Amino acid sequence: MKRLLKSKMAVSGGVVVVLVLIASLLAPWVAPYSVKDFTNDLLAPPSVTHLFGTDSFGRDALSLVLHSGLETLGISLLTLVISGLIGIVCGIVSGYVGGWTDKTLSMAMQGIMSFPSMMVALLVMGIFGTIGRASLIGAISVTLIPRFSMIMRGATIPARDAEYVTAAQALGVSRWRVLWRHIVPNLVTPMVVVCSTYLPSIILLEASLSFLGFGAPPDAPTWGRIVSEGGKYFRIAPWLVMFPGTVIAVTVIGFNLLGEGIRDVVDPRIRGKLTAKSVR
Amino acid sequence: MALLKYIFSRTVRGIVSIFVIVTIAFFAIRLVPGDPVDVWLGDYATPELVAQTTQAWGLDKPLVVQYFVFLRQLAKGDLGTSLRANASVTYLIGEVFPYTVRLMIAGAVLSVFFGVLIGAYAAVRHNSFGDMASMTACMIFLSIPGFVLGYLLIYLFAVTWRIFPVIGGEKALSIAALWKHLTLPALSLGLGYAGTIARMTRSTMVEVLNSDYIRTARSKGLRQSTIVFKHAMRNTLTSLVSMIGVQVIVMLGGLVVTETVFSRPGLGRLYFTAVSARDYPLMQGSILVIAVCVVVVTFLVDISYGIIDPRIQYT
Repeated sequence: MKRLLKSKMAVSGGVVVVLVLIASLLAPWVAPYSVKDFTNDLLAPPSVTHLFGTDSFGRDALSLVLHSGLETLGISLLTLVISGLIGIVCGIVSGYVGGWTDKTLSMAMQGIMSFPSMMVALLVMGIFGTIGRASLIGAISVTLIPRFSMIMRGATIPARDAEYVTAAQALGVSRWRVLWRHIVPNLVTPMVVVCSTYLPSIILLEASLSFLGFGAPPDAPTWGRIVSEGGKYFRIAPWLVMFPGTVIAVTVIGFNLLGEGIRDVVDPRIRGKLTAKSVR
Repeated sequence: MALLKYIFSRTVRGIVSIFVIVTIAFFAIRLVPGDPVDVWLGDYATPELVAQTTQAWGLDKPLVVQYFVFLRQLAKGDLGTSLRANASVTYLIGEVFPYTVRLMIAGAVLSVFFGVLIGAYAAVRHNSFGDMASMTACMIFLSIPGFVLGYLLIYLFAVTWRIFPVIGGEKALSIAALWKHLTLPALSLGLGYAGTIARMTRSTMVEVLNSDYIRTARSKGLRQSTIVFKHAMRNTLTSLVSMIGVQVIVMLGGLVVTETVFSRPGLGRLYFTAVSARDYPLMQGSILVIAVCVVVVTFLVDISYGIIDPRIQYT
């Protein structure tokens, strides 16, 4: 933790992340207007009263962005938790049990991974419905579970083959106890690294899918959707794309920096080798 | 001989995996609740109309029969008829595929060119201001969502400076037309991946530049450019090529957004419309083509290893 605070990258990323999270959580109080404040001031350029300008319904764009932050970030975090849990468990089982279980799981995971995430996510949404938060979370999870799983599998195997594990097994310690007491503690670091690596790509994928109009119900604003709505008028009102777009980019940069800082601190060997976009 | 054998076994494996993917997609699309006929007819759905449409689309037959009908058609190169567009899927895909290929090639070339150049520069100037600046730029590029970058480019180059047209695909195949219609989409598709490629090139290159043989080359008094592009680059190339292969596949996913922002005809947008409309045959066909692309790229990458690095044996 101390080393984390010394890392400039982690601190600057962390500050951005905390600011964005606080702003989104406190949106009902900090946002200057409500999402339902329709005015006659359509597509007004940025001004003192409307810092980000207004949209085609005369709503304050800054307030829209603030109010929708929770939707976007909430979905992304929830996806991280769900796909992380499933992926990590799959990876540990795959690595620890080995044999056919491992072969089948790995093959399925590699199969999914060999496809572009966006295409897989679209297929899942095409099957389970293009509108709906559950379907969106499911779609992004399907693309991420294999990545979590393969990395955790890779971390489990050397831990499983370590001498102290063999020693524990020789002492007659049960499988579960070996797993829980001797292997899982070794996996905490890769878990943290993996989660911090893939969160930015989850946010990007969520933004892209909601940009395409998929995911949350149409009346719920999300960052991607605000940009896509603004895109219709961007020749006369470019601020409707630029400001929300910048907010997404800054948030992703924040999470990327934080993730990279965490990675440098816990595992300096993989510096710079894992980056967010490799998932998209 | 080893190479021929390798190519043969890889081709067989590639065909098998395409077959598996298509089969999984076929059943996955059909096994879940929700009827495309209902979606298509919407409020106009009367029992007779539903029955008639279901029959016309061949959806009344058992799933296994549908599957074999599909396979038989596939063997003839027929991917079925789009439920919405009332045209054959092969025609629809063939229509847009050249656009996608051009965009992919342009995007890949751009991202590899900028990525490798920036990465090599940053590695040579390791820990300098230039290194920091280029790595910051890369971080920004790989964090901007593709659609935002697309709009930003359109706003700057098409609306403000009017250098390029705003939207659309190239109609003629002249250099001028390609330049006009391809530059912005290719940039918007490629820049993010250029960021990733640059970062990876940098980290591999830094390692290589610290190795003994580079020190030898230096002590021989070779020029910096010779050392970087002839000596160091060779050893980074293997990891670079595998990474570029991955990035090109990932880039296929970026097509959907890029083609939507630029209103370009293309496979990504076609697949997206198919998904939104639950157009089974079109989804199926797009997935098949995407699978073929993925398999071909992976195949080319694997083949190229042996050419780049003679130490690698084909097995």
